[in-house]
Amino acid sequence: MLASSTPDALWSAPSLRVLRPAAVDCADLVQGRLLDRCTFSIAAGTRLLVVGEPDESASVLVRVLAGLTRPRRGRVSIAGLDGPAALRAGRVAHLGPDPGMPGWMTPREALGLAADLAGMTGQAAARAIERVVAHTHIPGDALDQPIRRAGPAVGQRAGLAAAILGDPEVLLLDEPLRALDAAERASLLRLPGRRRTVILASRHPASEAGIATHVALLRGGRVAVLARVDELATHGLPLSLRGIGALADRGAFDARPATARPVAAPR
Amino acid sequence: MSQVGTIGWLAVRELWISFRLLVLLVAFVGVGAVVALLPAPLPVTLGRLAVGLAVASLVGAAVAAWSIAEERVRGRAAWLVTRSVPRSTILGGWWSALGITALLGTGAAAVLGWLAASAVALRFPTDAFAAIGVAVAATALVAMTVGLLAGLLLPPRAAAPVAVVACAAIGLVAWVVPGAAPWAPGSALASLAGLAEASRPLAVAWREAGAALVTVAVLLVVARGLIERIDL
Repeated sequence: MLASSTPDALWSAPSLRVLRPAAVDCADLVQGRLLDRCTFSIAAGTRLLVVGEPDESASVLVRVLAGLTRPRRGRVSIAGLDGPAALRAGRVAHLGPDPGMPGWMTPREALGLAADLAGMTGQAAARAIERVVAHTHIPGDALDQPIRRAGPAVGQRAGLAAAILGDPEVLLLDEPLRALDAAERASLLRLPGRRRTVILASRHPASEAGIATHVALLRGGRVAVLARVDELATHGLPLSLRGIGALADRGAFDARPATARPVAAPR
Repeated sequence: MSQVGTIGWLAVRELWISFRLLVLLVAFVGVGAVVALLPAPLPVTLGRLAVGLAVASLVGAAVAAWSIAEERVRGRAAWLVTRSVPRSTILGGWWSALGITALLGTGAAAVLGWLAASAVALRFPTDAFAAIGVAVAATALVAMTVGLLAGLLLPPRAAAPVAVVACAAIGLVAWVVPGAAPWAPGSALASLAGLAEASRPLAVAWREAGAALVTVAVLLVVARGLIERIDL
């Protein structure tokens, strides 16, 4: 079982439950035509599904938050630190459509390297690797096969395992685990830890049912809506790009996030 | 192991598995082997060694450009960055791996070249040859660093030829621009070819080595600034 870096016991403390610290806070992000003074803030523990019009704007937002794409302007704060500092401190992890590990590495080697880079050694590293391998269901015989030979599904499981190895507070996912079937993908992405924050960029929101607590739509580079998933059902809308778009059109939510900051809290 | 060491070791393994390390070593050591196996008068031997090392340096630039561009495009650099590895450490690791390979290759070629040259000359200036060898090694580092810069800016298929053309252009400056040698990187190769008739080769060689190393330092500063800004 994975643990959150801030134990749930601490998270249940009345003061934290009232304060609901922001896990991700970004202001006035500008990146080409895809982000235009994009501003939002989400509380720790939120599982946010982000979709975009155009599609790629959600991916770009996740890449900017992960520090892989430099915004032309704006500020990012993750788990109380600015973006680069949060990366250095290991508070944030990222998993993209391609896990990015060298294909000649075995999952065991890749996880060993990830543990080494996270500063884990000896028994602590071995225990952490064992834990994430169990969570991601990497088959025992695939652990010592080069990722290129073991196939994309093993590569993506290993990618997720490496991402959660350091037990990050914020996990940024960009179309992850597409090589897995929908049920298994959903089960792997339901990560334990009430305080763990997940931002998931997706072009297929319907396939993310049960993973997210909140949805957001980027339209014209700004957050057009940020709402609880169950608001869709309340309005009789499906969990789809069209449904989320219709929710934004109804104007039930603040459609001026560049000036106002919708803060969502986990249920 | 430090993070630069870890990334350097990863880079060596990547080069080894993709046969690029073999290409690099064969390019450098092959030059020395050809020179050693084909006996010729001293000026011809040194000329062959200089041309061969120039070609090997161009191969090194292409390999460097291709390698770092592929790290970016395939998302491996991004994977490292999201594991708390600073971008400059990735650059440092790759530069170390490629640079050490170039130094070892140049060293091996120089030893083979020295064996060939000392066999055909009665009084061979070993000290001047060693100094020029250092300057040529520094020139190979310039080529690698130019390759890294091209790889940071362009996709692999474009980066490799652009790096070769840029290095060839930099090398030609030493021949084409009057008074550019010994300050232009690449002039060490000309000095190596003309060592048999050189008047003060030692002083010139050290100046060329210094100029090449300063160029490497400047290019590395530029590359570091660049890697902090590009998309991974």
